[in-house]
Amino acid sequence: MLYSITFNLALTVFILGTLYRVGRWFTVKVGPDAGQYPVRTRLSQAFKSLFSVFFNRNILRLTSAFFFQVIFQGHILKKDPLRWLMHFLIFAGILLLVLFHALDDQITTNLFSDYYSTVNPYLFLRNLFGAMVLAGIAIAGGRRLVIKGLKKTSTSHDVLALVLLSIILLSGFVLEGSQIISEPVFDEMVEEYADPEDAEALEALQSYWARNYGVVFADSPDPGDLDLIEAGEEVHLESCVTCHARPTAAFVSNPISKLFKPVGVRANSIRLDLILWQIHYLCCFALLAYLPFSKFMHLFTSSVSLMVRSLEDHESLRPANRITRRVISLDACMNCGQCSLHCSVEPINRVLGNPNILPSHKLGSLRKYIQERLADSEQSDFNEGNFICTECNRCTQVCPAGINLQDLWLTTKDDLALRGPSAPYLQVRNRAAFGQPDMQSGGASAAAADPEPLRLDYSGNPASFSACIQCGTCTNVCPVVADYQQDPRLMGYLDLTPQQIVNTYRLGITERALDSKMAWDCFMCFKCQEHCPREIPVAEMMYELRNRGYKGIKNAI
Amino acid sequence: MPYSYFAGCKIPYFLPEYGSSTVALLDRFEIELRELEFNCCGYPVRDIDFQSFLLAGARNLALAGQKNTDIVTPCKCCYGSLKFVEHYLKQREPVRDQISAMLRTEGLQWEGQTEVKHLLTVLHRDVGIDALRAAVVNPLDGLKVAIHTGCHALRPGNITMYDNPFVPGIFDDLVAVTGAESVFWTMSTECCGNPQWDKNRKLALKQMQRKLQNARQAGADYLCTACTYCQMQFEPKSQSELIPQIDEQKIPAILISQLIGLSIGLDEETLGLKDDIRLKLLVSA
Repeated sequence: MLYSITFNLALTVFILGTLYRVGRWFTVKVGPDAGQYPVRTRLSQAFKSLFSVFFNRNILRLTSAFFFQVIFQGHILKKDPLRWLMHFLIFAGILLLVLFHALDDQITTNLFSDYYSTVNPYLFLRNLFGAMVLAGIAIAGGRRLVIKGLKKTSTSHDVLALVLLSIILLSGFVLEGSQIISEPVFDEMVEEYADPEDAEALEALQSYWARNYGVVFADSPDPGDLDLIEAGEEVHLESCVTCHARPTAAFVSNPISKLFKPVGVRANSIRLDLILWQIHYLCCFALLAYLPFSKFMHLFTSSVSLMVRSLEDHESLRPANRITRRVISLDACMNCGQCSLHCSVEPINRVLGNPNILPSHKLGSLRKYIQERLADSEQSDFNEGNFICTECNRCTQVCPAGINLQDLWLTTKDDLALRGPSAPYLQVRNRAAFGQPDMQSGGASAAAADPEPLRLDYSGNPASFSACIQCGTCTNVCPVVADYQQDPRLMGYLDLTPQQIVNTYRLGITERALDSKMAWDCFMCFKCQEHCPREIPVAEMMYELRNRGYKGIKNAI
Repeated sequence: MPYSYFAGCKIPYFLPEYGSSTVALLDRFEIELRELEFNCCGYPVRDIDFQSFLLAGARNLALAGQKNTDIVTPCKCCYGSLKFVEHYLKQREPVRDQISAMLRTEGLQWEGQTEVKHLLTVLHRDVGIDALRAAVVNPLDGLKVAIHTGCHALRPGNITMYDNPFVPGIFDDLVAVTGAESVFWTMSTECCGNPQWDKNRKLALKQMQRKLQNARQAGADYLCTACTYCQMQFEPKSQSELIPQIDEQKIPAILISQLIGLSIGLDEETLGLKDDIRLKLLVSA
């Protein structure tokens, strides 16, 4: 009763959850171009493409992607054999357990007429598959701890996924162990397959099973009575042997059952096996219900993502399908962290400490961003992360789930630009704080033990500017000045010239230059610096002004 | 000794033809290249945070140094950044110690042994003008090219040590090898405008327009670039944003690796010549 109610409940949640997740693929909008395609267009375009794929030679590419990438995961093997081993152990183990163990009534019995969960090879294989998953989880956990970059990108979801799975597997093994020693289970089997009325034969069988099958009996028969055991063997051969292998084949559960032995009688009397059975099943149902909302959904979404990737280039996708693909991508990410391990701007994250610089984290923020659930501070971190990304395309190339991250970043940048100032230049000019908090206001407290952050400090070093004779050479060679001069109507008014910028250093009023057009419009072509007869580092002073401006102008100047 | 090939971040996605033509060109002259997984050179964050800039640059130098290789890069902004970081850290021991401490956490160290070279330097010095000239099979006679020198290799000259910052000559020599004529134009060594592309588009376009006018007055058929950012600035897509939109203003840009590659008969597909360039070359040559 409890079993069927919880199972049906979990199944319902699973089905509704999956429908919800798949429904979102066609309703959620990612990117500034998403608004033009109503849900109906996206659905119909997706079905059209799907339909056309099945009726041309792309089906071959699709099939090969399915076997090589989705099932065998060859693209992971090529990059890192250990990672492949970890992933394949978990993937294959779970899949086999679900198909042949969890669904044994539906699948295994129909495929194999001789199937009994208690005979070999099924008994042995079940242990093997379980052990495979556990080994995979152990490697996964180890990697998360040992590889520095991965440790940084791990989230509570990663831990939760591994812990839930571990509980299911361990409870399964312990359950089997408790069944091996269980007298009540023995009695049930006698009831079913032998004659429980025949007390003599029963005692003989008990002694045989106590010795060879590890069952613990409350009223234990004499283990030294060899005749009795021999008689038991006869009964055993007659009634049991055809559908019950010796528990030694269960190479994980059997040693566990040995641990139970000292408390076996007590365990049997409280029916420990039933308690564990309930834990095992309830955990499985919990996972079933949680599945559509968990990382495990990637089994489905990553497969879809990989197959879409195999089919065509992003550019040749129908525009409406590009939007849909973006949403699938957000679901397909498993946070494996490969993108962040290979990210071009990862070293910058080490200095600035903004996790949104790393693609795996930024993708999580993007999920929140499209739901408008980013807090203000998260939003500015997200902006900074997107701005610092150099769009080098490497994350897209390494992603094992085939996600086109490059497309996500490019559209996000466009989207951020449309929604308001996102680049620091614009924000500094609007005098809004951007990115990391002000260095002076204790923002760097996390790195308190570290040495002072390295900064450009020409303003604090008179040797850098005191030689200036205000000759104006820097201004004369400056292309920005020339651009403004050529067409003042179009370009407007340039507030300070390079020469005047250096003068703010000489006068100790660099604050006045922090939000000047000159400092932020400078091309950084270094002509001023090269031509300066007094060797003033004019261009590097512009960098200093920008660095300082960027750190946060909080008060109006 | 092989070089570590530093493509920079923009080539793989935005300008793959610069990468493929550079690799093919150097391969043709038996310059061995190693592929390393470098990070960003630091140039894009120099505006934002100096320490990030230094760490990013130093890590690349350390990565190349670990493999006992020097760096060759086709991008002038990458080149300028790496040279600056090298110079800055060599001059300042306390700063170097601080950056080294950050690198040490991943088992890297940099002792100043890595040399950074630009593609043009390698062509000019390692391969040599004579070898290049000997390899030319399709002389591009009659073609008028305005070389776009690129700022960050040239300046600051005392740090980049690349060429004479006021009267550069390397680039002209390399163009002359192909049979094309390097025309004199006054804005050759000025900025392309790209650094302001995402920040002040109006200014970036103004600068581009002034340069294009100047090159046209000098009679150039092409701009020739040797920098990822300069090339991106003069791509047809960028030039199409010019206002007013008149064809008089436009001049196609060709990469130096494509120009030399074409003259020594490298496969056109590897060179990745775009249609506008190919058409015009047919007309002129």
